[in-house]
Amino acid sequence: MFDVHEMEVNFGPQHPSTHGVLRVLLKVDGERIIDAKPIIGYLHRGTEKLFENMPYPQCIPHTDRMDYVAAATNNLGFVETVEKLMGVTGQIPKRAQIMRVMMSELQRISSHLLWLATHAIDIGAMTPFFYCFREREQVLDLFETYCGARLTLNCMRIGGMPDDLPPGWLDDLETFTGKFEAAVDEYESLLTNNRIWKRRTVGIGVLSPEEAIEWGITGPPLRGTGLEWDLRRAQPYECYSELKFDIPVGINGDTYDRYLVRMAEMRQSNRILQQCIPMIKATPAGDIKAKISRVIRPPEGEVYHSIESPKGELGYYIVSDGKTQNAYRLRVRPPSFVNLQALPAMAKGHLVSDLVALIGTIDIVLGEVDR
Amino acid sequence: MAETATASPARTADEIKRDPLVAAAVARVGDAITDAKEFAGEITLSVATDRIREVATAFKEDGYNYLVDLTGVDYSKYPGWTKARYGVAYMLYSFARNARIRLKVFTDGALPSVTSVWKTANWHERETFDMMGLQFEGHPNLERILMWEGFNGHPLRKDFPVRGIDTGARIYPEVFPEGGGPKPGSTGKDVKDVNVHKGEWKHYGIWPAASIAARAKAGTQQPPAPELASQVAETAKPTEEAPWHDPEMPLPQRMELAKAGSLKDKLFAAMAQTDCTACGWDCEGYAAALATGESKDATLCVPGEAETEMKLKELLAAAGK
Repeated sequence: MFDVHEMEVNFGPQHPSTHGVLRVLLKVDGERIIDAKPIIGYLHRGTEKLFENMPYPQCIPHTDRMDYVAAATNNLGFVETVEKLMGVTGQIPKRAQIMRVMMSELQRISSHLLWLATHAIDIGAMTPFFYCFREREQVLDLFETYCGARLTLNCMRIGGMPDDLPPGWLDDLETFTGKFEAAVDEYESLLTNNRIWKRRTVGIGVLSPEEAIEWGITGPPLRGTGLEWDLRRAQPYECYSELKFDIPVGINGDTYDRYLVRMAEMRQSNRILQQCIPMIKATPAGDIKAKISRVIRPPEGEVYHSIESPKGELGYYIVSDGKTQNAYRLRVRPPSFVNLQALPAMAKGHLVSDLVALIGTIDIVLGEVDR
Repeated sequence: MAETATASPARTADEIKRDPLVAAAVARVGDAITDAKEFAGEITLSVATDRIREVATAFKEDGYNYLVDLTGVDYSKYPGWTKARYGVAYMLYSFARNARIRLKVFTDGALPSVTSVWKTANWHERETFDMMGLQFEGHPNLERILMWEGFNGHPLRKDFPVRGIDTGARIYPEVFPEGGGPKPGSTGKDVKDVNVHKGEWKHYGIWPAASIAARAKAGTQQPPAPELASQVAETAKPTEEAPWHDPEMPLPQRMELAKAGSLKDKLFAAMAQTDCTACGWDCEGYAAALATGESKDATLCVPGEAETEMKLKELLAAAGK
């Protein structure tokens, strides 16, 4: 009468809450998940193969298309790795460094806003979507004013930045940062103490710090477990060591804590942006590019370099043979790919509807998972 | 802050092994470490292939508890390379030291899996298997992860062409309609098994391997292995009847040679001349099929791309077809 009745169900790849083309093969007993198997690769474009066959500067637009909601951090990780390989990390002008930080933090805000909008709508809260997209639009407008693109920015170059800030850009940024803190308050008033939101997120997908490290999880899911580890602090790049910001951490490592961590991170990004504005005004205009040769031909060697992207540790591993203008091998360590691997462990024993919350809380972008 | 290898005199392998970052672990498994290098402030230790699991465990117990990344490198086209063909790099990070090191092994195709040391190695090793074809011995489920099951090749090997390989739709139109999975019944596999499947805990991609046999059964022509157009091109030679049958020759020159010929000859000259059989015929066969009206689709020549397609349409329109 009460026997176990196992069933296999395909979740995705055309399911709206899978944020793209993720397919999860579920083994369920009624609504309860016994086992889950993510099946990925539907968006595989062979980016790493393409990287091997084009000169370094041409790779930058391709990095945009991996985590396509956080193009600036993808650019940053790539150009920094090539600079490390060439040994010119110390030559990047201060103004370019601050501009890179500003682009990354704006990108973090826009990525987290997109995450919050879709995560909330997946769980059933419709309203935050409209509020988040209101602010995200302003961030994208800032990007558009700077580089002409809203999503695939291609906004960094090896050795610096492509262009100086357009006139009036800093004023627009100042207006935005002045209002953004209140906007985050607004989102929080919709969700943080919302009883339904808490019932759907508290205690769902609990991770301990040890487990998270074992699975290689980084970014907000790792900090949600209570481990205070952020590459911007642990191994500072650009001018992060001169900036004041806190690393928000969670306590229980559940979906609710990861939500709180990301909300607090948006406030911290805003704080960094506010500090950047007077800093960049003190640097000479136009000093945005280091004097490096136009033909990029790094020496023979191999480097790994990683940055804190909105999703976690984004790393690049380059093997150069020193003879050509192409990378011999260029590997991307995508945070979404590694974080997604823990989905079965997190989902076991939960209901199918919780799986939607879990996919949202890991914050995957399939372009980056599949590359 | 410039981290160049030349900034300070390079340390020897023995000096690097005594570096406080690695000394404790090296003391335990030092005999398995064959070489040590330093570049841009990063330490790389080469490890004997069959002992990687032991070395990984030693480093994990020494504080390197976070396996950041695991990936393979195909060195077959590396200038002056003498070691085994593949390198596999393990990026490790220690939270306690806030430091990174890299382990590296070299192999010709197989190496022990480290999934028992770090859970996160599972997908990384699957990806390396998928992309490079390396066999990780002791891996719990070494399946393809980004490419689909039954895919023929390992894309990140240096001998895999950048343009990709034809995966079936053009070669086997009777089995694989363009842009879709197998037609019901054509592979001998029930259509319900393609998407929904019971019992087996595995999935099928859009390209089950039964295609070559299916084509042979259909009896249209010799089943070509899914080869690369570039390899096939070497067999295409100009003949007396068809002096334009040379893939190196540009299209205008080919058309000039076939100027006086029949419609079939002109169509033949407009093809890419690789005899790749992606359309289902060799170049001459496709031209004949178009000329007689057996085939009405002028878009099938893959290597010829838009150039050929436009020329074919122009010729057919001029002939009133």
